[in-house]
Amino acid sequence: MGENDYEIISLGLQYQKWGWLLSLTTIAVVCYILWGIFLARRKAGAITIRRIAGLDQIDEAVGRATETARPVLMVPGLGALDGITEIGRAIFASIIRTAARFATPIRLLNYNPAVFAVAQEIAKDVYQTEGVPDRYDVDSVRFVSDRQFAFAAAVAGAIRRDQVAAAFYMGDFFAESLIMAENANMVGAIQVAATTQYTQTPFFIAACDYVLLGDEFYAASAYLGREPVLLGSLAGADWAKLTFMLFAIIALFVHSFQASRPLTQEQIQHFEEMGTPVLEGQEYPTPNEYFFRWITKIPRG
Amino acid sequence: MSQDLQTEKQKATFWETMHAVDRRWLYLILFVVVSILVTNPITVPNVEDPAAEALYDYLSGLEEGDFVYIENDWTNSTRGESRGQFEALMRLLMRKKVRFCISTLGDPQIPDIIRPILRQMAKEPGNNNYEEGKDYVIAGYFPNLEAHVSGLVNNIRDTVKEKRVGGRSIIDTPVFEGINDLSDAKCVVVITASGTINLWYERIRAKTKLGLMCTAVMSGENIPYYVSGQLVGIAIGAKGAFDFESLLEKEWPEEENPGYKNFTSGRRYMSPLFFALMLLIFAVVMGNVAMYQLKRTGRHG
Amino acid sequence: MEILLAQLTVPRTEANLWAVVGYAGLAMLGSALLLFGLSRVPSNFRRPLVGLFIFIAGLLWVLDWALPKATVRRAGGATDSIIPIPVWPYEYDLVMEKVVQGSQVLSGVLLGLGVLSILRVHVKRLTKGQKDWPFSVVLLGSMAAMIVIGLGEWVVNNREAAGIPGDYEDMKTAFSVVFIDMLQVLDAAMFSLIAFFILSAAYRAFRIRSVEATIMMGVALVVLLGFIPLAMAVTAGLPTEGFASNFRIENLKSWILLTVSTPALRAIDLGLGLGLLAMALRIMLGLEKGVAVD
Repeated sequence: MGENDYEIISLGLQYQKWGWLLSLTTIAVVCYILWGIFLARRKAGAITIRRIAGLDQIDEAVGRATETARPVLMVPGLGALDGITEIGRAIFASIIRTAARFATPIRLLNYNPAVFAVAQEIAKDVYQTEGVPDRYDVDSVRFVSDRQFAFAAAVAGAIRRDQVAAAFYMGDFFAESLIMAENANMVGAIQVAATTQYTQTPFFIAACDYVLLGDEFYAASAYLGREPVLLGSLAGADWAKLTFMLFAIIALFVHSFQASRPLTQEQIQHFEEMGTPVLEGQEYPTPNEYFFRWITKIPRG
Repeated sequence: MSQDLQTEKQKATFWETMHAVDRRWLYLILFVVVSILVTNPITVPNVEDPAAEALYDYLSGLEEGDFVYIENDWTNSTRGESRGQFEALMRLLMRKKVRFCISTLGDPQIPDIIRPILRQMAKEPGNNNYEEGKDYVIAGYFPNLEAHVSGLVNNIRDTVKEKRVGGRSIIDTPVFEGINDLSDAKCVVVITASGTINLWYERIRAKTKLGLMCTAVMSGENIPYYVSGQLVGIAIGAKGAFDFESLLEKEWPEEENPGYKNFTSGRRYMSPLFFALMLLIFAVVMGNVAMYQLKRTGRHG
Repeated sequence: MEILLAQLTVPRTEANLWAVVGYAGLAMLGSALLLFGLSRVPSNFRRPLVGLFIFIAGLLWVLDWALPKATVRRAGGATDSIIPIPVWPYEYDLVMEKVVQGSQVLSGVLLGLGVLSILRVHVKRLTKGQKDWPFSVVLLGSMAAMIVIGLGEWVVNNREAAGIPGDYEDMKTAFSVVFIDMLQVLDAAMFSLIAFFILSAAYRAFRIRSVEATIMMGVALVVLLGFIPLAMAVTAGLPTEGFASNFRIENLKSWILLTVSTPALRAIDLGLGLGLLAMALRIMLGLEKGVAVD
């Protein structure tokens, strides 16, 4: 493509119409996180982290598996090799470490071939660093299927055949979550689940013993390792969250104030230009609508 | 006195049973109820969901010759919910003489599944004998999700130009006449059972309206986008399909328009769903009453 | 084998095929050399090297997002339409296309690793006559059938598209039987199991054991009832406008979903987004322990 092939009409599309605010917010959050890391590095022990019950249960669950000589099941979910499976990997490494010490059999069943390849290396690595490479069974880390329900069927089958004593689900889960969790519940396994797909969280809560909620999952690697850098980044993200909360509270008051006054002619024109014209009856919320009814209406702009 | 004790004991046994019903009994009841109702559906009354109505009203307000882009991502697994939604949407667009293009990110088989459905539907009275290549086109399967959605937003013609119908590129058909950019489309409707809608939230850049038809389990994560105005409307699960069918019936009553088919799978799956939900509520209430009774009689710690 | 190769090459020209083979060979040679080189690098340099690679890979996506995009009018195009493309470097879209294609090729190669894992586990079980070996026979048989029929249909479609006459119906029927009539139906059957599991899980989990559990159950019941037409019919007598309309079951349901559950979900989403950003940053900067494999 040569220089003269096109004529620029408008530049920087993603920064127009408040788009720059998104970029600015992202940069601000990144600064918060880097600042958190910087502070944590400078002064060790400055940041502490609250208990996460689900992660504290790892040793107990593996211990029970050891007593009953039944395997521990790990499922990294349906995600590709990304940040989420990376956290799952950190948690699984910790579980495999405990299992390696007690010679508890493990099953790590994979959906994504890339995740499988990495999981295999990690399991081997953990057994080696624990000094028991001979306990590592090559077939304990498996690729099963990359088709959602075939994978669910295979995991459910493995749960029932091997009568697993503990099951850990860490990563991206979708409709198959309940199939696995209910089957493990039937064989009486201790279950710990964590997923960033919050539509699946209720299913895990109904069927599992411990569930990491929302961003507790991202805190897991920091929690298990207690490394200052990781704790610092957690603190940075928390400060960003506090800032957002402050912004939401200010917006609440501003918005309430605005909602109690009729729109000016200018504002009505503005909404029309934005392609969301003010409908009849929306120029001014009626007192009846103050209670909660009006919130369910489609917002104007 | 002793007879009282006897009945007390019998009562307790009943509540004990209710407190921990074997799950296989629950499965059997559900299986029987759903089997009967799928084969012999009964008509249930309906109150349309405002969010589904919003989507219907927007699409129903389109004029003859308008263009709508449809992302059809369901697979056979969620046919119970998605197929009813798809059929009702197609009927609405055909009756309004709206041109449309359908592509899929979900499964390579989907184009082969929907083609006969559309041909069959086009023959129904009121559906204007819709023809592939003249009134609508099927752009087929795209394996690379991000590239496809970005491509559609950046340059719709380039993205689909390699797909052919009747020996010519689909962009040379009357369907794409005057459609040079996504902003020339009146709406993008995504029928999905997976997270593909997120790509649209991220990338559509307000070029056109976005409508969603999703499975019931996805409603929680997508309703926020309806409240924020990013979605023009949202039809949820089998209920959403039934809502669309009911609204079709309101606009074109079957009695006044002989041969029109407003109700298909939406209504058929509504009564099993309805009774399954009733069974769920009944089971939960029963379990709690039994727990309360056992506590009262001191048999449950 | 020759026949199969001939069939595979139908839609392509001869020269085109050799170019593809050449590129593939070069890519293999290149990656082999790269891996060999990496293994020769002293281990204290290896980690920063891998870290640098990860940083650059992440940076590509950041640039894709941050480089200014522009609305341009293309001259001489078929439609003279207005399309946004990145201005500088203005073919960045093409760069990203290659990156995405590269990662797709990589995942294709890794799928081969996965298939090897399946073969190893099940062939071993079969040859050693371990427990449940008949299941392994079924699995290996189905896998072979799927591969053969899936590939066969692809070949048949290509031949048909190229206008080569022949009898293709048998292969198409076979494909339709195994993929549409069997695999997809089995998928749907597995999916429908969830209905049963939801019933038993809800029956077990929804017990009034604490105040929180009671509130949750009450709210859940209202939302469930809001989806049931019969329950809607019960409150249908209430007016559709005004204060009393708030107590129609479908309005209560909408209120709970839109006003109570939506903000909570937004809060979780926000937390997840921030967590993911922090995570991505840690990986990009090489701070996450164990990402750069030693």
